[in-house]
Amino acid sequence: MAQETSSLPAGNPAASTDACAVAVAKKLQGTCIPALTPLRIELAEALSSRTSTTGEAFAISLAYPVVIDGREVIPTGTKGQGEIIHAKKTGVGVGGELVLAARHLSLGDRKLRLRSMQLNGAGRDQQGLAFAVGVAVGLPGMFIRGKHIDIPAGAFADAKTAEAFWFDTVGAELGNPASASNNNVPDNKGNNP
Amino acid sequence: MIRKVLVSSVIALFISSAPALAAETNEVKAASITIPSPPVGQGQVVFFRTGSMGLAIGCSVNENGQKVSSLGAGRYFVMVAPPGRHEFTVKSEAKDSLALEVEAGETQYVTCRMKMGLIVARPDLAPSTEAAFRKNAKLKLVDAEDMGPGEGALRPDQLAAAISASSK
Repeated sequence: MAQETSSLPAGNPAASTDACAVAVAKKLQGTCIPALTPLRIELAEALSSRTSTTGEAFAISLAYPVVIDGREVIPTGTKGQGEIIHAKKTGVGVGGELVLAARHLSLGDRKLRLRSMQLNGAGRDQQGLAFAVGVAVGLPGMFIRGKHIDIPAGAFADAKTAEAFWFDTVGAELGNPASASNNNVPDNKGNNP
Repeated sequence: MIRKVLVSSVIALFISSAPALAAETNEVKAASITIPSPPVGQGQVVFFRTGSMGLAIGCSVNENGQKVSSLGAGRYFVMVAPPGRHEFTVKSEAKDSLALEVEAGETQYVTCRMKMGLIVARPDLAPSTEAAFRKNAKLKLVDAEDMGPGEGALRPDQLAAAISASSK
């Protein structure tokens, strides 16, 4: 799978003008989702170390809406994509391994990049997440280990937005400087300008 | 005469074990090891190895064909890395690899385990946790000379500086 959304900028201050800063500077009316905003996502499909392969994409969706200043800006169920960073089947003396990453939520023709995915041990159906033996959850980078790793569809994970993201209040979003300059710069501009 | 021999033996024993004793002082309970925050815009990976199997077998961690560091039993090192996908390999009679997604501002943990091979123990890289790292009775930082030639594993002085910087 392509890695176009995988790398966060390595910290080039000169290129760090984010979408929200641009919008605020232009005095546009809208709402900013700050970088590193926590989200809860849901796996839309089951994953297993027995069948998954490195580089595969998997479907995710937003488990709870993103609300900024009392306004729902991203609804529950918004679809997105994750990527299997590493998958290994069980071997002699070693368990299966899965390393997952949340990549983005699709918002119309734009993509809100995600990062810092961690399984949190909960699930939509409270099915106790019938993970196989030895699964650890809540690990940085979404590390999971065990004999076999079987993650059911509906498993919840925490993630964060990887970039500041601007919504125009009249519904017409900013022309997409996002992919070019919507860098991952933490900010605290969560207010309507 | 016997007394002289005994005293000499004790002195000789002390002298021969002194370097070992000095080296042991660098071992620290993992629970009290300070791992600094990664530099701004960077992530980091802590590699550690416990275990008793394959004590003589090194676990040499490589990325892109370049050595990051050797990792002996009871050792650890910290690697600062730019965000994104990183793939690490170890190799003996068989190759094992582990890919990670390094995130800015975050620390991830990887353990090197030795599993029994046909002829020699085979190193195996696996994702781990800070809790598993802290659970170790004692861990010691890898010696600078066992680290790779390039940027990667923080040398002892670099690690000390990073700890100092992140505690400010």
